[in-house]
Amino acid sequence: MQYKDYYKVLGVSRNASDQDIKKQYRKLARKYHPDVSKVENAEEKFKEVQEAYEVLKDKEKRQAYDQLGEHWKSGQGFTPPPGWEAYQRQHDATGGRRFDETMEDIDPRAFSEFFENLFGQRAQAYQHAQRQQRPHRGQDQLSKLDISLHEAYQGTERNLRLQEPIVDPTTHHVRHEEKQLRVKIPAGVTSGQQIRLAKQGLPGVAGGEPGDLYLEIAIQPDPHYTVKGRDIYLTLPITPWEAALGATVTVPTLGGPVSLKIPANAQSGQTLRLKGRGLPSPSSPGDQYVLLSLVTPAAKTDADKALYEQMAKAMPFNPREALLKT
Amino acid sequence: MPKTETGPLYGIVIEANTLITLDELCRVTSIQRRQVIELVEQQLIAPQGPEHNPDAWQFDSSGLKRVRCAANLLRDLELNWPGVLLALKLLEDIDELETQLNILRRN
Repeated sequence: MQYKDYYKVLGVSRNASDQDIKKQYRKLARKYHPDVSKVENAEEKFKEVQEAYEVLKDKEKRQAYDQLGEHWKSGQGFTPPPGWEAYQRQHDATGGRRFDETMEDIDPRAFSEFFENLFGQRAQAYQHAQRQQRPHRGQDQLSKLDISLHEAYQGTERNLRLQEPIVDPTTHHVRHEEKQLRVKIPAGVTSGQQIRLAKQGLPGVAGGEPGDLYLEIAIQPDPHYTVKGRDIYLTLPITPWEAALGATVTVPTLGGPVSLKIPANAQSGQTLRLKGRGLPSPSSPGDQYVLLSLVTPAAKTDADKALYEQMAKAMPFNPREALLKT
Repeated sequence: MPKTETGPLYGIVIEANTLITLDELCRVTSIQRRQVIELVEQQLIAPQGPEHNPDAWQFDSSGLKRVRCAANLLRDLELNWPGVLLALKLLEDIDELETQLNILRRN
């Protein structure tokens, strides 16, 4: 496993006060929390911050961490010093934690191997469960999956790679194992949708069932469409004559181009609905909304300008009339 | 033994319309029963099922996502409960506004 420099992660000195540590944590949590942050890789960064705080905010854990010494560098290969297991056992006893319930009581957050082995309680919980010889259900796992809008429309198959914290049954050492799953995503999933894969979570103990895996789908931004639930929005540029006279134009949809009738005297910003052309669903498929955007061709030549001037003379019209009325 | 030596892959067909019970929700999110009940009372989530019988409630994806968010805000940002309720509402508003903005921006 790799050493983690928690002081460096939080950006505090090794003799920082509890106050300072809390302040720094709050600042970084606000900055990187995945539910509120727009920073790239926020989730990764937040996990690091979270883990660092988990250790440094706890007096006992911080003390134990400090005793490992100052000479370690982040990422450096590391093995727990002799006597560490005794510390953990003592911590377990004084902490008064009981594992009568299930493995699900363990903090479900995905901490590093370094944390799991030195400060986590997964190994103890596992051992308690083993000793009791009662089947314990494994923990549920959470994972996010990014897909494109087109994949959401058609459905897709994807390979998932997950990291699982596994307790070795003999050494009780916790290590991360990679698990690969191939999943079929059905057509019509929406962003934020949670999909449950039964029994694909962490393994149970003493013959207990594994937990479930929850996948959260995130539809990535599309260059042309905006998605809202099952509905999709497309901005469609049209010419002044198409707007004024009406026209039948070809419009892209997720399922291929379709014909759309623009009514005469259409205005910029007007919305037309293509029913059922959004994300599919057996009961209520989404719609595609087309927002008309009037684009005026540039008056490049004298002839162009003459045409526009003719139009101005022939169709006197002041769109600002209502605006300037006192 | 590492599971990825031969990289076994297996196909799983997914139920897209997962509904889960109150107990399952609490287990997955580590949030307390009474807190979920309050989220329902505050109309921040709307489970299916009879109003006065929480044990018969069924939560869909949006419910799960929101409860998970509440659990995260409580734990990670150390918000108090009223703060969590406010934050959830504001986050929802922001989401809505951003979608609108995206739609209009392309004009």
